[in-house]
Amino acid sequence: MKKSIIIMMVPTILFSMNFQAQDTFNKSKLDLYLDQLGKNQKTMCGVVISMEGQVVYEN
Amino acid sequence: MEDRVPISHETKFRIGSISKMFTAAIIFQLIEEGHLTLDTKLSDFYSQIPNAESITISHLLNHRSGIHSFTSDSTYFDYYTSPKSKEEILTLITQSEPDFQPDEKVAYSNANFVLLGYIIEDITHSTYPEELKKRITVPFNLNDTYYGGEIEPEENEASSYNFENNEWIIQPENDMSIPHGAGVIVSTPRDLTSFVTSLFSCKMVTETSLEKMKETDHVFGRGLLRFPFYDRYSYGYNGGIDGCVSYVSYFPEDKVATAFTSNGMNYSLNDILIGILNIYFDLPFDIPDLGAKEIALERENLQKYQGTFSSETLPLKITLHVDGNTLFGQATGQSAFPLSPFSETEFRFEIAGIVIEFSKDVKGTVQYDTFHLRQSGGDYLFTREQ
Repeated sequence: MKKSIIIMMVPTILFSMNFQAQDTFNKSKLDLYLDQLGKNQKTMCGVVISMEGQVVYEN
Repeated sequence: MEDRVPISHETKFRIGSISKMFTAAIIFQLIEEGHLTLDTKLSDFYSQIPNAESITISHLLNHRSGIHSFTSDSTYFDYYTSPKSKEEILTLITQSEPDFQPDEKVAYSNANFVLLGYIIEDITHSTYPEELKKRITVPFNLNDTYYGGEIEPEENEASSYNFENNEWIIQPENDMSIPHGAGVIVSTPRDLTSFVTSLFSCKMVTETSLEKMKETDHVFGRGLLRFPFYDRYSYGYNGGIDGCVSYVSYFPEDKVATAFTSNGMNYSLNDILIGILNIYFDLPFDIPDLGAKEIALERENLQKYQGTFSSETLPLKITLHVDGNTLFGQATGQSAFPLSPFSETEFRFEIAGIVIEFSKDVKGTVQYDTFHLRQSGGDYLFTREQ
């Protein structure tokens, strides 16, 4: 059992940005990203995003 | 998966330390029922453990107990695939010297949540898997979440792998008698988003309990971790067991839950999550060239890139310097970061999505006096200061 804690890292040079949650977003871009991760043997994974309890993305 | 079976929506993964959120939720239910308080002493259950008179339930939940994490010892790898009884684990924990005095500081320890799992069993006179079922998975319809055992691929449970010598190699399995409340659960990403959404909807614990869980010392809450993303935070946990790596978090402002489960990782979890969240929130993100390979550059070649560079469009300077055989970048007032060469002209700090690109002239000679820095969709020209 690994004990490492991996904390999401904010890029070193980063300006504050306004953004908001959405149930419509660029799903094909996320599909492509995960597909590239798999094809290049970076990971084998499952991903789900939900908003207000409703699944808006599943791969 | 085993025998190259593709991962499906039904594939179940070992989620490692995300189990700690489930254990914490049950502990807060027991607090609400009057069986415990955050100030209850460990000595009420396991007085033989060093400092038990001073260690509270709260210290176990937020990793402030000082109890040594036995899973960090090199000897752990001598026995981790074999069953251990509760008495044997308690002996291991009891015989370990404390890392520090209770509440003196924070240090992640799996022993904290193994003990919390045992305390759940002691209070309820039941077993952890039964309480998990009764209190969490049945009432919240988490049908693919349960106390794990030996991995059964025919039941859609994912074996785990490490990437070695250009291929995925199956990994030995932790015997699940050991991680218990610290890392025993098997689940799916869909169930994990349901779980964290129910938790933050205060259907699983009260709002008062949830607020206690969220109280953090920057990162560590009570059974929750706080993750920064730009100027907001999400709460959840991440886990690693065998070759499995997982993550779940919830953005309370947006009511958005994200879960990632993997049974083989050959890339930074941070990079993957930043990519997923940037795409979801429609923030700038260029899918990296994942087929590119790092190259080796000799120190004497790296030294040609050294210098201080400034930009007309960014109010900071970047200094490039060589330490050992690595080129580092350092922006004004910030920490140095290593730059990996992918070609003579391209260097990356992938964890932050930074690309620094020099150019070549028509004769193919590298131009060391200017570079473009690309990050988060921005492109900035930097010029060497004289």
